[in-house]
Amino acid sequence: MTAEEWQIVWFTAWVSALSTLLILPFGLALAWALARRDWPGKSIVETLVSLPLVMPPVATGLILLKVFGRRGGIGGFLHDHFNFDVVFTWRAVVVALSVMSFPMLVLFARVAFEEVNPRLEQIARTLGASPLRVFFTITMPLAARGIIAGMILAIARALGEFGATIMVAGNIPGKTTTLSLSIFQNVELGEDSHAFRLLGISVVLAFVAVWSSQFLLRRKRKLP
Amino acid sequence: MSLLLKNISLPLADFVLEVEAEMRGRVTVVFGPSGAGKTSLLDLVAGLRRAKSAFIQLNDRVLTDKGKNISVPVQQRAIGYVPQDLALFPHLSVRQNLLYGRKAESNGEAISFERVAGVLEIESLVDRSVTKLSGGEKQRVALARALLASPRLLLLDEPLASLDAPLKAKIIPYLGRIRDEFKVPMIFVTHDRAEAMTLADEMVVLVAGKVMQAGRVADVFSRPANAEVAKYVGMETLQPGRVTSVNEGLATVEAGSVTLTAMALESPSRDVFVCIRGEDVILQRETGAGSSVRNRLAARIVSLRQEGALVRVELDAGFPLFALVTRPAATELALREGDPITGMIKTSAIHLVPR
Repeated sequence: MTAEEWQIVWFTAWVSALSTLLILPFGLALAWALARRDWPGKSIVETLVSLPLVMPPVATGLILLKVFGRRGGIGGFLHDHFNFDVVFTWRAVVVALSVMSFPMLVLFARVAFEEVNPRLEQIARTLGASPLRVFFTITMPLAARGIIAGMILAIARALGEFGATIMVAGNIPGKTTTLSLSIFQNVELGEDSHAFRLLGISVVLAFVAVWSSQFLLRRKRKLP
Repeated sequence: MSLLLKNISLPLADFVLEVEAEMRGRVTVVFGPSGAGKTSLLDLVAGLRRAKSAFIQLNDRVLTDKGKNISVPVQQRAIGYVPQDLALFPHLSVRQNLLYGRKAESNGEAISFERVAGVLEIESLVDRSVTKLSGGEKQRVALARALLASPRLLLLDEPLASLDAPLKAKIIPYLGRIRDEFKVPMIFVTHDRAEAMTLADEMVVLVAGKVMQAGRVADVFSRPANAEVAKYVGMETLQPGRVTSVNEGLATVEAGSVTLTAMALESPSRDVFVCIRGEDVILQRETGAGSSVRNRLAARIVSLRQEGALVRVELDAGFPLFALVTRPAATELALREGDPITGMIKTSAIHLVPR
């Protein structure tokens, strides 16, 4: 492993983790609202959230490029008011990974919330607990395994993201190059030994992520 | 205690729950067949469900007034609720479960942890995991947890339904102790006659979302308001009595001014309810000798009431005794109010229920 390869692995790992942490509060709030409440437009929101799972990632990337570019709605606002650029920086990588892994987190967290018996939450309220206290002392602990499994899979999804990232962040060595981008680039350049080493790391990371999330979900099912 | 329920209307799957009632008992039983809306009624009182219209007042505090858009949040109602599945928190220990509803400031009125643990005999359980408790232990922990939040009213949804008969017999005295020691009024949902008689002083009969009858337990059992209530309560005579002796499985019971022979209870209770179904009382004009029936009571007919193909006969037999006979039988015997008559009841037809 060269220093450059290590840099790519570290960069990929920390932007994946950061993007999952950033979407966590919104993902949990939305998952909870989908699991526990009925509201108008719920089915539309459900569909929108799942879209990045099925749309071509490059298409999602194009949308992000337009929205976060200097002439886009959010990008223009950030540039004009804070002199803050997103596209073709490491921040664009975080944006792409966040959007692409959001559905994964919401899907798993929603199932985790749905599996918590609502009667437990209701009885906690009759014992004098506010809805917020119920959420943090009853709902969250009981849904924790499912939520953590969802987070691991969201990180795993982010680690492998390619299409949206290359559209919105480009492939700038040392700045926005992630594992998948680097594998693609190395194969293009005929540098197969580089590509294979990075491939090995991808396989190990994916295996650990899927295996540990399955372990968590299986343990949960055994609980009474 | 006074719980006032007015103008309640909550559409459920098969019917609309419509309730007007005032509950004043120390223990009020909401009695009715499964699916009558009993749990939904408790949920409304606790504030866990919203009705189309409702007015709920506990003592002098209005909890829900749909008309004025008042709805006190669940956590501010101070109403304890033990649901049928108990809802113990599986990720917390017994102690953490018990302390969940404990107020930080301990005022003098609060029920002390030691006392609750003592009365419900759960001291030895507090450090265990709730998943390692037996059915009866879970029941007691759930009751203790609700009590420790110092509720003004305790709602119990079929607290004994999931227990087998011997365990039930063990839990009933604990409920009696909660009633007597902590003076927390209780509303208790059940479809079991014996539980109602043993614990409650008032009773509301709920059938398909409607209150069919409300009143003192003994009155509801002995004077059902209509045939439907009679069908569900199914026990016409309910008379407090006292077991004076037990011999070879037979109990001698004093009820009113007479002595009866009944099958002895397994528990050693001396104070009992004597329960007799109307169709088990045989009426005879002459006191003929030579019959296997042990209980022959000289009685007087107080009233006659037709109920479909049957006639309901109220007798004064030293205590109020109700008989159900067919109309042809009533005609043949020429039953009239004021007539003397003999009421006969087989030993096995007298059910004793501890009180």
